[in-house]
Amino acid sequence: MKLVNFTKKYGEKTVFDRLTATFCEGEITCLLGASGVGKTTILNALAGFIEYGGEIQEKPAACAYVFQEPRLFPRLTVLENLTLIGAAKEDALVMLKNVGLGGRENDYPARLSGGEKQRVSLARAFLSNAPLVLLDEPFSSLDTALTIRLIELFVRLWKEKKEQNKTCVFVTHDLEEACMVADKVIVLKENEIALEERFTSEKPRKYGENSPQKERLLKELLN
Amino acid sequence: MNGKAFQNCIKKALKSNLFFLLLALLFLAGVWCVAFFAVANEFVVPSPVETIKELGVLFGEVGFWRSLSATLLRAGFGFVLSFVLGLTFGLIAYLIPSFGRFLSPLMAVMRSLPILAVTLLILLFTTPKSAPVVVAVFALLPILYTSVHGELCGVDRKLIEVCKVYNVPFWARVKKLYLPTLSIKLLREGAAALSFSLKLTVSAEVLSNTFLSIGGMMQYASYAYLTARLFAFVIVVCVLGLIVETLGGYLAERAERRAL
Repeated sequence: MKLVNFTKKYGEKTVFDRLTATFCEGEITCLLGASGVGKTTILNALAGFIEYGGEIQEKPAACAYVFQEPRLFPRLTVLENLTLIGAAKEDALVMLKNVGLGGRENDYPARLSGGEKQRVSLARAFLSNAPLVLLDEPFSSLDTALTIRLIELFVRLWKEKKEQNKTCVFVTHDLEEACMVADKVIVLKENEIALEERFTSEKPRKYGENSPQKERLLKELLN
Repeated sequence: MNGKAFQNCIKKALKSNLFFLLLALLFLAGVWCVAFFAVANEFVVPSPVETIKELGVLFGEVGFWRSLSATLLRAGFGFVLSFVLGLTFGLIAYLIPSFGRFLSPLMAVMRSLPILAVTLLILLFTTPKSAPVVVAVFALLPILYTSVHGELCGVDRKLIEVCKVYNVPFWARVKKLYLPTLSIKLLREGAAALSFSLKLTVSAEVLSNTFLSIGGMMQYASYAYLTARLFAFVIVVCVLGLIVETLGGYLAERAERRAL
């Protein structure tokens, strides 16, 4: 999937002007950058929420989206939240067990903790079988320990669905998070790509683990 | 009863809605008694005892029950018509915003029309039997339309985005997202609107002197200076309105509790 001459303006403000970026199949691409740089704009364009200039080549017809907040239907149980997207009840129950929420299928979202809600949101994304998975800072409101556990869960689910050759775009402002999950990291700065780094080691990488790519990314972010 | 048990009893009572309902009814009865003794004229303010006796007489009359049924039927029909129209217009206005912008000033005009003047005007074009229904629709439609449209516009945009991303089918969206949001509000507002419809229907019946109606019977009682009978009719209408509103409120609360 490729953004070609991707252009987006909000009123007078130009967010992107003829940006070109590639997201490879079977890979997790992290978009890293400061707030307001336009990371979520790219996701919203990929999800079809906003109008834009230029084109998105080879865009899959369907996508799954893990939002910053879990966005569960408050009047539906956990299981109903999963089956609403067309998933079979049996698959949903297996997936719930897989994300550590076995036995919680009849609970309403109000009874779940923040981390549990985001687990359901991840389960929903992977149950949908969509070829494109979008994540918009999904763990930004959670503490570090929980974030690490959920990143490990995300990578496990990703590996389990490896044969589906999904494309994943993961937006984050956290360098550690990006270095743990990414096959490729794109640093967005002043509305264009400032740096691209590729990771080849096995995912998930350890939290705080040093690498030359991480150092270059950090340098670029601080620059 | 010891002191602690008495305190607990008071605390329980203060938490109960029924306690405050009884307190309000007692207050009204008190005001009535004061007015009765102050005026000291049965033709102007009848005694509560006399009114209750008259209520008993009313309940024994076949004509009263037939009139009550006819009035309830008119009020119900006016409400259902307004509800269906309000729901339909609200839905269309939500789906086609330009239609909503066209309807908005029309509904504002309908809302600001004086009901009594409208009733007199409507009587020129309709019969005394249908006028109360038309009046109820005129008054209730803008209320129910605004409620439906407002509630639909207030449905969480973030959840609508989720439905869009995951291609949730149209009927599943209606059933799982829109209806649960609407139903709680509509139960509450619907009950209030039904109670309001009853009052409007009776008022319109009084003005149009409808045959076989509570309003018509009230009109006759007024002409004949049967004040106790008039008060008895008012009590019947008030109690019916209160029952409908309380039931609606209870059902809405139950639905809300289930949702949370």
